[in-house]
Amino acid sequence: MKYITTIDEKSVTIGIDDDGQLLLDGSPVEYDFHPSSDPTLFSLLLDHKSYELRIVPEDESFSVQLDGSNIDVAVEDERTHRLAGVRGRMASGTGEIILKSPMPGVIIDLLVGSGDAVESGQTLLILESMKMHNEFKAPRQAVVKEVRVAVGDNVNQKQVMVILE
Amino acid sequence: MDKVSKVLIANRGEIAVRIIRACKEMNCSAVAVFSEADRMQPFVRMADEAYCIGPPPARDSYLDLKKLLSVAAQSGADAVHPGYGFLAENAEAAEAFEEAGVTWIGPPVDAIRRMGDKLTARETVKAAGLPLVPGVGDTAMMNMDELLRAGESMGYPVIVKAASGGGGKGMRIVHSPDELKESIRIARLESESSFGDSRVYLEKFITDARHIEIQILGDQLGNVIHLGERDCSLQRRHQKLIEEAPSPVVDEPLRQRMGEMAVKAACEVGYYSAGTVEFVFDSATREFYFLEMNTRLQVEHTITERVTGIDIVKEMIRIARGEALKTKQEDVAISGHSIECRILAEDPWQGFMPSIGKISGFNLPSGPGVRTDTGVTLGSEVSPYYDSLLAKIIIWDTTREEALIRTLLALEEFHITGIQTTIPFYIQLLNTDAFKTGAFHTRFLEDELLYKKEEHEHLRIPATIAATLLAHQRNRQAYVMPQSKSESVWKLLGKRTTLARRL
Repeated sequence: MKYITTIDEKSVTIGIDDDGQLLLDGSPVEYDFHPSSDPTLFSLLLDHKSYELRIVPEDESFSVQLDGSNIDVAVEDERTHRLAGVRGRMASGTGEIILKSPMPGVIIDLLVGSGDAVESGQTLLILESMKMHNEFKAPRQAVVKEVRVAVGDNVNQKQVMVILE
Repeated sequence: MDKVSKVLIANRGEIAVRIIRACKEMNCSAVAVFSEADRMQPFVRMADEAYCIGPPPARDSYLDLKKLLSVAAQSGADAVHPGYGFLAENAEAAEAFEEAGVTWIGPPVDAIRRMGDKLTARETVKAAGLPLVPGVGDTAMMNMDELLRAGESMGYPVIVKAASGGGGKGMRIVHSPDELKESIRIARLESESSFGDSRVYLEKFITDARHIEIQILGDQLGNVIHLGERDCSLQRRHQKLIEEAPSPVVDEPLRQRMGEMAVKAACEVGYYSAGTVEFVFDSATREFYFLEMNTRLQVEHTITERVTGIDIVKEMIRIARGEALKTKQEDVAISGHSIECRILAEDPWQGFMPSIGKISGFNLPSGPGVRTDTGVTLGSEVSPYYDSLLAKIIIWDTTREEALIRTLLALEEFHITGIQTTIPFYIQLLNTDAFKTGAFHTRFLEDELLYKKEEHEHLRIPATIAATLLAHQRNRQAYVMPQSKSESVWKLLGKRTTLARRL
């Protein structure tokens, strides 16, 4: 099975064969990966280097916690990746940014529409939650692919609001 | 029977846990109160007794004085510890409990009242001889013209503050006279809506300022001592994030001077129990000025405990029982260096927006010099109703440099998944030259640090491989069985066993 794994828009190809042998961009990697009885806790030995990780599967990616950092890792198998390529999603080689609501609230302002080009740091929308106005900004230069909310909408926690690409 | 033998803890989260521990060590029963959102929080499970006091919003539960009084009566509690926040600096609450025969584990009602109002506090400590920030309008109710004239005479920048203020509310920095009128108007509005009191005053704004505070302990017999300083200069929008003791800029003579001043302020209002006198320290001139007095236990009391060896919460209980302080001023010694990091449920990469949800993975750091005070654990629901403080790590080592290294490692060891926390931000912050050298001021985070998500180049490969292996494992569980029709069961079993060993 082949996977295309992406962190911060940089992708690598990982092949795992039926015997469990792993190829990272074509080169074999010596590994020992163990789950624990704590469902989010894993141990990885890579060429005898030891890593303790927390991995939480989320909707479109895995949230990996390692040495105090949180790393968003998107894993696509080759088939899904090819299909996505056909749809043009991965055509530019950069990933999507999915903006989810971190908490329930109301959309009180929406400053962008589908197809808009946005600059890094540009405010996309304002979510009111617990009497606070929270501004959501574009983490990088991008194009608004989809807007899934409207002004006045009540959103749930982890609801997708805007997709950038 | 001791005077204080059964303590109602009118709080929640990590500070309720902290107080329950002290109660048990002092052979007191601990009575917890909880809102409907907090039924399964650790403090409820740890207490000897627990009473539900209503729906999640604080005004319907933790701030509802009537309900708290009725739990005190029902449980037979003879004392109450308010912790910090909620009713901790509410003189009416302290008075109501005392009138009901329930000992307030805190200072006298009159001291809370006099130090609670910022303008009264300024007048009080001025009389005691404490230095005040220069050029301040000391009239309780100044009109606009007077305020404008005062601003001119003290020189810009100035800061507008609310008389009843706290937590940065109603506070505005003004750089020129033409901004003053509008700033005062907004500060008055904010103050009116937050505190029901529109009185504001002006202070000279010190540009290169540090926030340094002195911990006070006093008994009911008139003995007052100080336990040295804490440096709380690392703040974001006037909220403390990381504190340390001792301060990197305070030497022994300065510590003594500040300590003496703080003791004077406490004596002026007949203070007993634990309290904190806050000062602004001007790094340019090395002068310090009285800011305010907090008439309660503080979040960061822990680092003072660590460097002095004095258990402040147990001392509060002893003082409430009427016992004399066991420690004399000359016996207070500062040993080593302690750093506290407040672990908040906030997303540092999205403007410190509160993060809520269920904690799906949890691991506390441990080892020499590592103390953790936590209000949450695996499976805890972080709700949007209360402040975002989840836990604190309190690190100690012999020197500041070593304490810093130990703090970084403890932060890396602290796992919390399911919600966003400030841990990755602190790791980034502690690695800055400003923090390493200790040369920062109270607006460091606003002025100098960009809230940029860190690069994690060295973690990229292990994260990539681990996530892919987990995805692969999940794929196999989903797909291997249906695809295997043509293979013999034994062959499949053999293959799966091999894979399981590998994965």
